[in-house]
Amino acid sequence: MKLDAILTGIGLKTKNLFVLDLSFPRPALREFASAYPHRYIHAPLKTSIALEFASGMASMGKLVLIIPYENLNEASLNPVLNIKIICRDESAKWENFETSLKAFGSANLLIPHDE
Amino acid sequence: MNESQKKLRLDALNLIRKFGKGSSGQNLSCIDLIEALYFGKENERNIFKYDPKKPQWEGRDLFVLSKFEALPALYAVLKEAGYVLPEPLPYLPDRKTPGIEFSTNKHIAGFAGALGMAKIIRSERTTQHVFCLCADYEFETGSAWEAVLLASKEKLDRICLVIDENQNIDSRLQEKFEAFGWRVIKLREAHSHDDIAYAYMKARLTQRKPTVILASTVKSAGVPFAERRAEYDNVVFSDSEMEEIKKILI
Repeated sequence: MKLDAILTGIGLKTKNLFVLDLSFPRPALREFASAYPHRYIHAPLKTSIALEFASGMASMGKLVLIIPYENLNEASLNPVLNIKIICRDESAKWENFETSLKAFGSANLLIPHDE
Repeated sequence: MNESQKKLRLDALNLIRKFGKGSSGQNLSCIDLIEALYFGKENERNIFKYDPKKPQWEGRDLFVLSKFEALPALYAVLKEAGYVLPEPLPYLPDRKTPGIEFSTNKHIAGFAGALGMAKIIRSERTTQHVFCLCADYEFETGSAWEAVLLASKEKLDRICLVIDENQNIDSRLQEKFEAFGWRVIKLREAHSHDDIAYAYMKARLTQRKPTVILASTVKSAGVPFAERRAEYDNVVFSDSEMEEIKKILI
């Protein structure tokens, strides 16, 4: 899976990247999970709890990436916390992914739909 | 009740009157739990590490208030501890306020945020600890138990959850938390400074599993005419009631 490979590469340089995977029933990332087990959490939680959990992690200075079960709305996130939510979109391209991930603040990160 | 507990009660009730709204009974029931955390000592050392002159000190312990109705109680304790609080004080927990670690306006949100902090502390293997105060009615929702299960699965031993139990709900929290793999400490006397401080110390020493302290508190504790009466949970005391309370507590 392309997202898995790209995140594993980014995770090597970005030590404060944590991934919260809400995929159900199976985890979305295997390569990242085995490379950085302390920075990967697979927990199919209710969205509200997952967002608050990610907020707690981000308030400790971490960059948190959420892989949701289905597309989420990031409007309820605190804009000063560094939380990104993966959103699948037909028009998305991989070229901007790393820059968008590292930009400060909360946002949806668009990735191609077939991922 | 010691002098510090009495003074903090008066301060919290005065803050509620200043806000013009609030939950007096709910603040009075859990203020001793917060007081013992900030001022409790074991062998002359503070149980809770903090520095009011450096609210963002990286080595500090973290206290998250999930039961946000008790915010006036927390403000009273923070002021007594030496924190410089802004005026006017926010009515809901806001991270911009010194001493407040997590912004929340929903129940159980603070607990979930505290788990996120505990996850980072465990990953980085620092010596910090997270304490979180919740009310028992917050665990009437299913999503709270998802968070409880997550804490156990991730072995978040750097979190100590304190539950203020006084709603007389037949929730069997002790059995449930033990079934989810948490260490449960049940306080014999939920308004005794020494008992509470000792429980916090035991919680700090627990390894490989999260800890919950179950405190069977008394509603509106410290105000005899309001004690154990649910109608005083969410009220602001009147002028005459405050006069009577001052005679009791001073």
